[in-house]
Amino acid sequence: MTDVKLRNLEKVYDGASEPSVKNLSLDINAGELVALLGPSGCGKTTTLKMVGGLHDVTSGEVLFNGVRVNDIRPEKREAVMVYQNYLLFPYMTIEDNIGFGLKMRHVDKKEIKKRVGEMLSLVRLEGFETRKPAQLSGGQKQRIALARALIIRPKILLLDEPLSNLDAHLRDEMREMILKIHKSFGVTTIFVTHDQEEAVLLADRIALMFNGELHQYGSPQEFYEKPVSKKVAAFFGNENFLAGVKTGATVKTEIGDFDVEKSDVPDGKVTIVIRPESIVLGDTGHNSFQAPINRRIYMGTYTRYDVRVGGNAWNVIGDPNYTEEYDEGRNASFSLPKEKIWILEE
Amino acid sequence: MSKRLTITLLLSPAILIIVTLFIGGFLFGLFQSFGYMPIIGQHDMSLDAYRNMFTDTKFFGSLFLTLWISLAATILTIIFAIITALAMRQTFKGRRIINFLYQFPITIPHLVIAVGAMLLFSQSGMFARIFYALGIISDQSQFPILVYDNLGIGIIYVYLWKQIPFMGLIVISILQSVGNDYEELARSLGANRWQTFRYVLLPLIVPGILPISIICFAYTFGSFEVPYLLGKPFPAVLSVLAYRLFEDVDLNARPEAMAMAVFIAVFISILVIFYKKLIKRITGRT
Repeated sequence: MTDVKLRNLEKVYDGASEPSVKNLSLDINAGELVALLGPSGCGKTTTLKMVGGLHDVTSGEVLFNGVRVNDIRPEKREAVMVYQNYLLFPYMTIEDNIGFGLKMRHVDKKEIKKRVGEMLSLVRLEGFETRKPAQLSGGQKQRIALARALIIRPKILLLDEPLSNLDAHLRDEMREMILKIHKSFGVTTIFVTHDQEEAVLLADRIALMFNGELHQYGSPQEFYEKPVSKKVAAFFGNENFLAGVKTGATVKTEIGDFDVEKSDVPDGKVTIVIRPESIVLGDTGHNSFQAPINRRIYMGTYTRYDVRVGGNAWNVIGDPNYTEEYDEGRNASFSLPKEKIWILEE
Repeated sequence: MSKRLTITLLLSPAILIIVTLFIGGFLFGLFQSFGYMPIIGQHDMSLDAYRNMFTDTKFFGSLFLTLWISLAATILTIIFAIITALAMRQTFKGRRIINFLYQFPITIPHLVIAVGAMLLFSQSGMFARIFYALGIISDQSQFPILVYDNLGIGIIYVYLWKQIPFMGLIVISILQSVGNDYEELARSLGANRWQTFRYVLLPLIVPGILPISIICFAYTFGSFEVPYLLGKPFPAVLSVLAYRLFEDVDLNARPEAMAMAVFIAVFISILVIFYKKLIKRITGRT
């Protein structure tokens, strides 16, 4: 089992004026499944490749079990990469593809054959040995790519957008397979994704990056309930913001005063953040306010309301069975449970 | 005017040239190779010229030399094109100038390079004189025979000079289309640099350069001017031997010259068919 530590990692590509990854520090525990999450071009794949030794580190350190690996060549790191577009060698059979890493290590042919068989049964593709990659579907290719990586029993598994080329059904199946494999192999896994839902479903912890910088690192729950900035909250689909001034356990806003729980946020200008599903429809007599409903959308299992709160557009998630008083254009009552309010320092 | 007529009219100049110069010329040569030469009163057709050709040791000497030069030039072109393309892919200072110099020979005609090779590498050439002046050799005849040599080194050199950048550019474009991901993946799976080249890059490059190699081979096989200028009088490559027979004052040698030319044409046509099939297979597969 290997833990990974990144210390002040920086990457500047030749000819680039700006670094692609800036001062990134991250601790990944042995056997943990961590997601590097962020929009395209935020430096997540670059980070993954620096861990794998495929891209040089401009400055900073990559440590495996406390040992600096910056100068260790990729083939010696045992940190194996699985690519988004599978990259199965098109001229090789599936057996040769999976056995590639063992062949490079001069493992006996019989042993390779045996372990390829084991891997094929792990990814539930028994009997595919003699097929060529062109004969496989996207999902099958991804499973073979995973088997090819796992056969060498890597210390670290690096997955670059492993699900993004698959359709919804296959994505669920593949996600389950990754979780199952991670559980049984216990291999430290870092995966890159731009899809926050995928990150939440798969990862023990998420590292959210913007413009080459780490913005938040924590459990999926923390990203929903305790985002460190409005940008992080918005990335996780929550733009229910309200500006105010905090004094003690009260925040004074343009639509009224709200009681909040004690926090480390100093008194002064703050922003209230609350998740759409945490808002209560109706006047509970505490932290309540009235706001106009711009739009009401029935979503089957819930109803979504677009509400104007102060100068901000909020989303509120409510029961699917709505009542007349929450019709479009009506001024309706809402309440914010004190324990669900999150405060951000301005 | 109908579309079909327009296309026919537009294509007619090209078709006319192909029919009269190539097919016409080929048929003319084919008839002469069968001994049909009304100009000297020969109307009977036979396979005598072919029989003479295939029983002549001179022909086989020329054939082996031609095959050797074509094969050596093609294989060395492939090797150096791959090496230079891999080097040109790297980023380094002065890359643009090196890139320009690398591609420069493509624009120079074979004839100019051949004359240049003659002036530089012959025993009376510039390098022999410099070596002599520097006292490295005591006589210009001690300079290694690099042109007019038995192995056709001078000829091969000229083809390499011209073909390496040509094929190199193709390899560079293949490498660009392949990208770095396969290499990175192989490294991450445990392949060292050599294994990555041997098991990943080479199999990805070869299907792309194989057809071009056939073209290079076919071109070298049928080419005339370079071996004519830089080759030994005997054995000469097939095209030069055929030309000498064609130039012979004895017109009876003409059918054999034409038989040799037909042999070259048929051999190259077979290579072209092979090339076409290969291209079809490759494009069909991707």
